[in-house]
This record gives sequence, structure tokens and C-alpha cells, in this order.
Amino acid sequence: MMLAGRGRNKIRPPRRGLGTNDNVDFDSMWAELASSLQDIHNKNASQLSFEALYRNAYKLVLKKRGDVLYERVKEFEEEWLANEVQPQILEVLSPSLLLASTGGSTITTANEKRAAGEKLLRALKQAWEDHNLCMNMTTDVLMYMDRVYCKDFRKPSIFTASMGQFRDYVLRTPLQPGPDHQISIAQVLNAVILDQVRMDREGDIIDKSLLKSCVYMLEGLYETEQEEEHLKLYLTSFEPEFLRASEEFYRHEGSTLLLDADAGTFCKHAKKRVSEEEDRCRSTLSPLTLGKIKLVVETELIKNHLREVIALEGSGVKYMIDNDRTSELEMMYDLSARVDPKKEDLKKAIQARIVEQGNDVNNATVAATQAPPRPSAPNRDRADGEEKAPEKPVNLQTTAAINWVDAVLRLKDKYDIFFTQAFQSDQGLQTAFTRSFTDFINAFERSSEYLSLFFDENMKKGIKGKTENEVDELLDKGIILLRYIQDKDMFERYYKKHLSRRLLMKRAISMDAERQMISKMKMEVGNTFTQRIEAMFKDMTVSDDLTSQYKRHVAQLGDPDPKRAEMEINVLTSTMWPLDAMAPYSEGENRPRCIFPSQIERIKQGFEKFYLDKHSGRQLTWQANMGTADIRAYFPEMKGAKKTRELNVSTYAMVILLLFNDLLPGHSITCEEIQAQTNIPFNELTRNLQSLAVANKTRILVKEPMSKDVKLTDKFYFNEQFYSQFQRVKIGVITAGNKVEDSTERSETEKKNNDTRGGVIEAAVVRIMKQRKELTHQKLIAEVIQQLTARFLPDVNMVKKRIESLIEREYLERIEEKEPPAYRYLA
Amino acid sequence: MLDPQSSFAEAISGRCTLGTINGIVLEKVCEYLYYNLKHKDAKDVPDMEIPPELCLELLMAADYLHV
Repeated sequence: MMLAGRGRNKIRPPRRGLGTNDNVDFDSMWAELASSLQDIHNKNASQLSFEALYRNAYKLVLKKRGDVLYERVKEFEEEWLANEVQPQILEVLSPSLLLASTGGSTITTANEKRAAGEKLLRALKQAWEDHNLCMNMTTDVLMYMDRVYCKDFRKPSIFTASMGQFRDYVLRTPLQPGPDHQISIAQVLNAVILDQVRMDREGDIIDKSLLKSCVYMLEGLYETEQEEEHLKLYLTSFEPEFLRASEEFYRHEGSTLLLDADAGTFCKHAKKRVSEEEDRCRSTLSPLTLGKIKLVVETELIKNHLREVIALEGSGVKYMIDNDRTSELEMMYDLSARVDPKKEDLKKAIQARIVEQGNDVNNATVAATQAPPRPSAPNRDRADGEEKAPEKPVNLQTTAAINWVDAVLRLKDKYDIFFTQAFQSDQGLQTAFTRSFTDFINAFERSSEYLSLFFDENMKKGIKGKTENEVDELLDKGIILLRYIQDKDMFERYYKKHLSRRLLMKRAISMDAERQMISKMKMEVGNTFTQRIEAMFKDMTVSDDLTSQYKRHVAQLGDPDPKRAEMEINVLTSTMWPLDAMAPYSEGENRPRCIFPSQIERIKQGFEKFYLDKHSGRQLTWQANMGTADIRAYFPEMKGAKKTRELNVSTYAMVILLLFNDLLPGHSITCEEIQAQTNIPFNELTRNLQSLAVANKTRILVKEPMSKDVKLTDKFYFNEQFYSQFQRVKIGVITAGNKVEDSTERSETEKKNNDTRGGVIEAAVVRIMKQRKELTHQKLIAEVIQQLTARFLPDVNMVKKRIESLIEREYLERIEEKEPPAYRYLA
Repeated sequence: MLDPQSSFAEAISGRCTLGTINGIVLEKVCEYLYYNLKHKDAKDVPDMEIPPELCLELLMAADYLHV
């Protein structure tokens, strides 16, 4: 429009200057073009003017002779390739190569073969590069034809067409026409490349760039003229053969390697092979093959052999674990991860090993508890001399228990290291680890007791002189084990028992640590678990208050009794504290009550009155077996200036000793008399007498006859020669500490625990049924188990029994006609 | 054709003779090539001025030169 608006200027008609007016003589022009093409192919193009050639082609196309030109060029190329290039290639094709590619026997040495192969490769590469160059030039010259003619008639460009010709005339020509010798250069080429790759794999040095250019050629050629990506010659003819050959190679290598290498070497080798193949794809072959060849190596070398490698005697996973071969394990993990995202085999092997080692620990512990006392615990290479140090002749079983926990923790540490260093913190493996640990820890029936003992020991002694962080770490470790224990209620029972001893006997070193422990347990297991333990602590503080209140109360009374003893009271809520465990004689009503000496009895009554005034309706039961007393004793014949010593003894011992107050010096009292006067249960009595009269350092009493056992007829004297360098002497009661239970105690505990569990199960059943009203048997059981697994693993039979009993007591009823069996809640 | 890889005479001598194209037209073509280069990445480029009388000849030259 603009042009028209401007338009005084006439649009000049185009000059017919582009030679369109002269008659085009096709033949002469073609002859000229053909000779030029010849020159191009002979690399003699410097005399040719591009413009002239281009103009010629341009003219021919303008004159609608494009089709003829196209055909002629094709013919020309065909002739050139068939007559010039092909013979050159055939020339370098030595018979040995032919034989090799047909699979015949190769007599020639590797070197010859290699030389011949390289020659062929080089010739092919040369031919290909020449052809490429020429065709680029030709295409340039015939650009106009490509642009106009080929596009209009939907012909492949001349370049593509000539590439196809190269494929057909150079690579695909059968070498020896005949029915059974249908090999072409392409096949020979494949064989040669494969041969070279094999040599590379075997460690020979090959000309990688040469190979690369030949592969590049294959990549540049297509099956069809449409040049579809997936029809590259490389993909259609070479790659399958390559993969097949590799498969064979690695299958062979895998089986030989398995025979003469150990697992570590195998892993190293496999890893090396994989990275080698990756390199090869990048530097020598095509990146297209990368994934496929990796798959081949993985299946042939790793997947098919992995299980055997893992199980390999003397060097497999077991060996690696035992010898801390973290790096090898890491490789193993890496390989497994390649072929199997779940790493089943590796997982199984490790699990088996964990359980095996765990059972070893268990068995060793059992052996240690049954074996006669030995100077040190058997087969433990314990690094920390902490418990080994003979600070106290710890009960053998208790040592075994602590050793057990230590051993398990060591095992856990070891696997944790593997887990983070070798297994890249793999989630799946972690669950497997956890499962295995749970398995073997729960297979050991005393695990909860032992763990609690471990805490007990540490609370009493182990954390002495440790920093807060160390304590924290120690507790965390214990908590980890707790996580594995299924019967958490058992643990709770034991822990409570041990804790109560610690609290009442003031054996706990650090209340902070105790609290820390409880808060950790709370986080791990939940509120309900620690409720009672917390209540125990609360009782302790309340008792402290109570004691000071009582003291004030006494002071107000203004009873100036110089002989009056100070008293500290712990009032314990009976439901929260494991009193039954502490006082094994409380069963039945006729539990013997200790007769306190009069001055103590007075205080006792005073407090009872005070307490019941404060809280009416409560009942106080005195647990004399749990208490301790400080008494000041006067030893007339003791060496040294001061003849008094403070004795810290148990309540019973105090009661016994007070008896001697009333005795004239030199007089004796028999055991039987003591029992009659104090009403202390016999075995408590013997224990206390033992600690007072038998133990060397704390011999306050002299026994007659001198023997270890205490009999009813034994006589006791006050030991006036008693001497101790310390002002304060602590007289522990023999075997009153926390120790492993013997089997009767244990079955007792188990029975009690089962009773508790019964209650818990019933409560759970009722809770569930109240909510659901009606539920099938299977579902009910499943829900109960699900609710209770946090505390313990309920036994299905027990659940069934509890349901039965609930039905009897008419909490539930069976729904008669229902199938499958179901229950209904009766409100 | 000036590509040194293709060893045509033009590539060697560095000189192309375009005998079939009129000088004025060729100048315009060169102007266009320069214009093209100058505004390679620019937006809102002012139109190039093309004298109407040269249109057809330019068209033919463009077809020939593939620009």
C-alpha cells in the first residue's frame, strides 16, 4: 500500500539478467557440472568457481529440469562410490578379517588381526570423511535444487540420498556373492569394532578416536531416507551385536571371577567394569548405548552373581562385617543398589548376621551366668575397664547382664557405623536392622531385666565422674535398646523395682540423670509408661516436705527428749510403687511385723498420729526392710582418740544393734533370741547379721562360732575392738542391691507381669468394645494387639482368655447367628 | 562458498563474482545483510527502506542468494 501511495516511480520490470532468457542446454550444462563434481571428489576444487556451479544448478532447476539433475547426481554418486570407494575398502580387507567375522578359526595372531582391523577402520574412516566432505560441497553447490526441487517434490535432500548410497554401496555390498556368504563390510566392521572393544576390556591399548569416528559414521547413517532417530545404523546393526558380545563377555568373566576372587575383589572389579563401560560409551562408542550396556554389565556381572558373592565363604558380607570392611561393604551396597532398589539379598545377609551375632551374645551371656565364677567374664574383649575394675565383687549374674547390654550396644554401634558410612543411611536397610535387633533381643527372654539392670548400674556407679554429654549419650544408647524391646511392661516393672531401691536407699548418684532418663523414656514410649515412675519421684518430694513438716511439728510440741532420734519418712503410694517386689513377704495377712525398740516405736507412733491427722482415712504400713538408720556407736576399746563412729545401717540392723544397748559388756545373745525380740523375718535377719558379723570391714558384732552361715543357735557379742579409720561407716546389707533374679523369682515376676497384662488386655478390650459396640473376633484381636504393642506384644491366647472371662462377667456377649463370630458390648 | 573447508576457487581467492546481479541491487542486498546483522537481537526495529522500483529484482536476487 505504502509503495502504491508513493508511487510516481514506476516499478522497474526485472531485467532478465539471470540468464533465464538463454536457452538452457541441459546436456552441456550437466557435463560441466559432472566434471566439476568429479573434481570435487578428487579434491581438486580449487579451480572451480562456486558461483558458476551454483548458477548452473540454479538455472537447471529454474528450467524445470530439477528432476533430471537430481537423478543424474544420484547416478554420479552411485558410480563414484561403487567404482572408486568400494574397491579401496575391499583392498584393505584382509582375508583374516573375513574369517574372523564369519566365525571361522583365527590362526592369525592378535597383533596381525589388530593391525588389519585398524587398517580397515582407518580406510573406512577416510572414505567416510571424504564422502562427507564431498557431499557437503556438492550440497552447497546444489543448494538451490535442495531448496526448491526437493522440497516441492518431497524428495530427500541430495545429502541424505547420498548418505543412503554410501550405506548401500560401501557398507552393504555383499563381499562374495553367494548363497552362504552374505557378509558385507558392515558386518566385518562390526566384528572389528567388537574385537577392538574386547581388546580394550582385556587391557590392550586401542585407538579410541579411530573407533569413535567409525561409530560416529554408523551413527550418521540411517536405515531409511527419512532419518528417523531410532533407525540409525548404529542402533539397528551395531548395538545389538555389541550388547550380545558384551553379555557373553561378562557372563564368562563373572563366573571365572567368582571362582578365583574373593567378594571384595569381585565388588571392586564389578565397580571398575561399570565405570569402564561408562567411559567407553563416552569416549569410544556412542552415549546412546550407555544405559543399555550398563544394564548388561549389571545383570550379567552383578545381578546373576550377587547372591553368591554375598554368601561367599570367608570373604562375603559376613567377613566384611566381622572385619569392619566398611569400604567393601559400601561397594557391595552400591552394587546391590544398582540391580535391586530394595537390596533384598544384601539385607537378608546382614539380617542373618545380626541375628547370628545377637544370638552369640545371648548365648555367651547365658553361659556366663551359668559358668562358675571366673576372674573375668568369658569371651569378652571389653575395651572399657570400667566395670572390670574390681571396685566391688559385683554379683556374677549382674555383671553378665551389664555385659550383655554392653555387647548389644557395641553391636549396635558397629552396625550404625556401617549404616552411615557404607549404606548411605538407606531407609530400607534401617528397618531391616531394626527388625533384626528386635528379633534377637526379644529372643533373649531376660533382655528387659538386663537392660534395667544396666541402667541401675549406671545410675549407681557408671555415671560417676562423667560429663553431662556422656551421660546423655549413655542414656540415649540405653533408650535405643529399649526401643527394640517388645515387652515394655516387663521393663517398666523391673525399672520401677530397681528405681525404688535406688531412691529409698539413696543410691542414685544424680537425680538429674534420673529425671533425664525418665523424660527420655517418656519421649520414646509415651506418657502412660512413665506415669508411675514419675509418681514415685513425686512421692519422694512429698515425703521430703512431710519430713520437714513433721520436724517442725515435733519442735512445736516442745518435747525436749535428748534421746529422741531424728526421722526421715518416705510415704509411698502403694499403687505406684512395686512394694510387692520390695517386700516379698507381704502376701497374706499374717506378715510378721517387726517389733521396734521402744524409743523408735514412740517416734513411729508420733508420726502416724501426725500423718493421719493430716490425711484421714489413709493407712500407713511400715516397710522396715527398706529403711536405713544412722546410729552413733561407742566402742570402748577402739584405738585412737575418738571412740565413736557413725554407723549407717539398715533399719533391721539398727533394731538388732539397739538390742545390744541393753546388754552388759561381754554378754551374748543368740540368733533365736534376736528373732524372738525383734520379729524380723528370718532371712532378713540372717542377711543383716551376716553383714554385721561376717563381713570383714564392718564387723560390729562377733559371732560364735565363726562361720559364714548364720544359724539359730549362733551367739553374738558386741565387738568392742571394732576399728575403722573412717568416722562414718556404711554397712550394706549383703545382697540387698539390685541383681539378676534367680529363676523362681523370675517366674514369680513373670506371673505377676502376666496378671498385670491380663488386666491391661481386659481394659483394652472393654475400651474398644465400648467404642464399637459390635466387632468381629478377628478385628477385635487385631485392634487389641495394635493398641498394646507399644507396651508389649500380647499373646493371642491370652487375649482370647480375657475375652472369655469378660463374657462370663457379662461385659460382652457373643452375637449368636453371626458369621464370622462377633461380640457385642453390654453396657 | 567462502567456507575454507570447501576448497572452491572463491574460498581460496576470497573473492566472489556475482555476475548475474546488478550493482544497485547487490548494494541493497549488502545493505540488508548489514541491517540484519545490526539488528540481530534487537526488537522494534525500524523497517528498512526499499525503493519500490527495485522490489522485483531484489526478490529474484534474494531467491538466488538465499538471503
